[in-house]
Amino acid sequence: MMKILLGLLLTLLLASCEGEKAKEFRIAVFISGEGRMGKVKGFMDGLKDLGVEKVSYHYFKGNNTLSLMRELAQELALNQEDYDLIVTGGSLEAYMVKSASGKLKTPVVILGGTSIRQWGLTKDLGRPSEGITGVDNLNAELMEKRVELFSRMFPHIRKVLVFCNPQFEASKNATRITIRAGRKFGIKVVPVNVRDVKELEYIISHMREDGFEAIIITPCFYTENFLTSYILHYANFYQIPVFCHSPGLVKKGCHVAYGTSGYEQGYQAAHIAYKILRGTPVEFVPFERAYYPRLAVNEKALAELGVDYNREFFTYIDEVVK
Amino acid sequence: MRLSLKFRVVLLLILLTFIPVILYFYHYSVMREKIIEDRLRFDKLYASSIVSRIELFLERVMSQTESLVYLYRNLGFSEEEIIWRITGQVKGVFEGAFYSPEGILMGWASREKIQPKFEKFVNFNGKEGILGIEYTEYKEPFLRFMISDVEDGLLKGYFVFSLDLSLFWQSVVSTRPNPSAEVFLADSKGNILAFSDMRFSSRKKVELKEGVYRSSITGVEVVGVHSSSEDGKWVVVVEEPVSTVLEPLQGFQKKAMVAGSAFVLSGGLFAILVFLRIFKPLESLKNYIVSWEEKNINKPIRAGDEVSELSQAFENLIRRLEEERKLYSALFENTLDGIVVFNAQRRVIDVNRTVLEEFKVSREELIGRSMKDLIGEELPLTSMFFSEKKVKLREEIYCQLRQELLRIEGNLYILWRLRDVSQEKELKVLLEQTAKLSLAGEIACSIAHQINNPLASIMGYAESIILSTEDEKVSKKAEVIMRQAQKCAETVRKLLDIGKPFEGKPEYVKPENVTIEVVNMLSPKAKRKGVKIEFSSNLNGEKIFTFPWQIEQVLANIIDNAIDASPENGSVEIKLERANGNIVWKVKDSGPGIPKEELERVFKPFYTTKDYGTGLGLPLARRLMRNMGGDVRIYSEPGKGTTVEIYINRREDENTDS
Repeated sequence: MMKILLGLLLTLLLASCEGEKAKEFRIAVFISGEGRMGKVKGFMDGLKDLGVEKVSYHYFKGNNTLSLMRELAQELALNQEDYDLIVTGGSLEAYMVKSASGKLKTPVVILGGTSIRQWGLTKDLGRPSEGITGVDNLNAELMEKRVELFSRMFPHIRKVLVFCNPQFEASKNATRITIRAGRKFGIKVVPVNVRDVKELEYIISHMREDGFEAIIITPCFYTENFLTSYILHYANFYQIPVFCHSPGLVKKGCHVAYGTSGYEQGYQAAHIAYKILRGTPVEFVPFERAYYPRLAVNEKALAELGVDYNREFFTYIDEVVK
Repeated sequence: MRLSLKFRVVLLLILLTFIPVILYFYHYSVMREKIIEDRLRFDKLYASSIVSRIELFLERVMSQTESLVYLYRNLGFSEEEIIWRITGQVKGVFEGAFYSPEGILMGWASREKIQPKFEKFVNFNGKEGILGIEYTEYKEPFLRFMISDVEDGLLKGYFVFSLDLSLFWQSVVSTRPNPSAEVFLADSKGNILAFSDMRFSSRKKVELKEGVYRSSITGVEVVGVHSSSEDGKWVVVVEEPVSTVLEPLQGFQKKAMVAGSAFVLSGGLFAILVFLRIFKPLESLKNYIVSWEEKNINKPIRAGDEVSELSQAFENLIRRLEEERKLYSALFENTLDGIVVFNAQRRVIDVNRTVLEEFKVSREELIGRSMKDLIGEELPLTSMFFSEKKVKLREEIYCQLRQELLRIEGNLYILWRLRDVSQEKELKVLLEQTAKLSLAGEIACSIAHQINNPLASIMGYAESIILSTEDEKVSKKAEVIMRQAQKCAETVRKLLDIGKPFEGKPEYVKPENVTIEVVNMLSPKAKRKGVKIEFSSNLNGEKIFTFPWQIEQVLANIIDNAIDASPENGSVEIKLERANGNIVWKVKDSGPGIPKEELERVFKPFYTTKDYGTGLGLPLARRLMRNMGGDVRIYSEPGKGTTVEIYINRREDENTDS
């Protein structure tokens, strides 16, 4: 008995003398699909740069399927107390978690979302009211600017298509802004909702027949994650110029893009997450604006496109991918 | 009030537990104060250094912008293109406009809006550099500054740029005291102009205070300081969460808590252990001993606490045990029987004093010896009794042996009670012999009585013949008859003397006379064997005070042995002399002598070389002489006969010829 007691005492004393181990944070990552991984990468790097090394990430990937995303949101809402933080790839995922949970018990950080208030994720961007905060990438607000830049680059194009999902108010909002901006610059913007890849190919292959000569991508989870790769594939094949919302897409073959990169948004979101992990209440961690947007062009893709564009517009370009 | 030891120990443990707890809180409080004080001083220095750099950084931004304007103007860029390029290159500048020298808005470019908010007409007269602070539709403050567009000394217009203060502020506070520190730029009234990140600020205002307070910006308790520029236009506010500042202390606190808890826990466990392992059995032991003592010793115990009571009880007990040990030890040592104790392996582990004295052996000689060594066999483990058993302690001795078994505390002990019965055996044989002699004496007396009367008649008639006859021959023959009859009568008288009971009284006797009587008694035997007895003495009629019958017995035994030992026609030489104050008889035979190894054995009872011997002669002789203060010694060499010396002490008062 005495030996056991001494052993216990020694162990406790040694344990107390041992260097304090940093707490391991458990973070749930809820993303609609692989398209959001750029933001996640930026987020992880950001946390590392802030010295938060011990983090275990638990992924909830929706494979761009709404039904699966809803199931994952339910599961996450049920088990939210297992995590110190939930990060979502965009506003849609945050909205789904909030809807599944009701009142959130674990803070949610959006890695890069748009139309935050339209989604009902907070009443005031300066004082989060729903336990959700994050980075507002202002993608919807920048649609006007994108249309303006598009009209300057392709002054001869007068009819463009935008793909949207009318199920979501935010997608409709971005589309509305795009249509309104198009009117200002004499461009007819027509929204199209596609159900699958076949429909997408059919539309892209026949759009010229109806006078539509370009596609403008709106910030919407399913274009961002799912359609963009197909759009770019068919657009290049049918020589249709595409204007994207993230400079990151230019590297994937998009002809021109204006906005902030998902990586930067994720990196910026890491600073927000850091404050919450250090104990600051969510209502005191306001949403942040994404850093200033940049205009990027894929010169090679443009050259292969064989479409006329305003070469003088190149003085506006911030980044050129060759 | 008398406190029990148990209660005092508990009290002490509680006190020992509370002392580190109190010290812990005291040190925590002192260290907390010191750390916060240091942090306030450090943050104050940081805020002062930052505030002094604001104007410098603003000038740098404007200077960079002006250079780029000059560059792009020379490259032939339009005003819109120049503004666009600058918004992409100068951090924080997100929009701009160009005004004609008259102040009319000519063009603009923005990173966010297709039509940013710029006044259509601005009067630039007298204005230079910073124009002022304005707010976006999100209520974000930004700073407007102007650059004059002059080419070859000719004013071509004015560029007005909007600078996002938060982005600008990130450049200024690129290094913060720690990642958790918030560094705000505020105006003189506390309106926040910039954060160190891109948060939506909603025109927040801070109270300019210093110390520890709850921040209206972060909502947590912070260590806050502020520092104002010289003109009071800019205020830098630094706030750090108290939890971050005290993190090292809290780390230490946790360790101390763990260590302290470990200590207290161990102390508690130890205390429980002490109670369970010490106090409880101690109390039971004390109660048991005290009640036992009260019953058996009748000595009341009056002491302070349990340990004192127990101590006193033990003292009483040990004293009592010591007394009893002494008693039992005395009983063991002084018992009439010799006691030998064996262990279960039948090895001697203890003997009492009787054994040592009775058998003339030392403890060291016996301890460790096996049972087989002592009696030549190992007795079975059972109680046994032997009326006679030859036991070899130093010499082989006939003993009465009683074996008993003892089991003490699970150990087996074998106990022997030994009693030397060799003397008893001697006496028994002697008694038998004496009985025989007594019978022979009685017969002899009876014969003597019956012979005496005829002898008296013979002598009477022989005397009558002598007196009445005149015949000389007859008279001579009658005289011969008379002498022989007198001789017979003398022999009968002696026989009657022998038959008389021994009275055991000492008396003065002459050793020569005693010797002569014995020699006369044994002469017939010597004659039969043809052994010549020679007696010589150098004493001058001295007397000794002794038991003559015993001396006769001893001499008879020794001389008889000498006759037996001598060959036919041999001789026995008897010398009586004085030596060193003793009277010594030296009886030397002409026999074959005794081997050296057998010399000692001759005094052992029942050792004999004769066919009809008892083996008691010499041992009896020695014992009789030793009882009288003398001794019997024997000297012999094979082939040279044997000499037996009989000593008797002659006291001074005996030196009288009375």
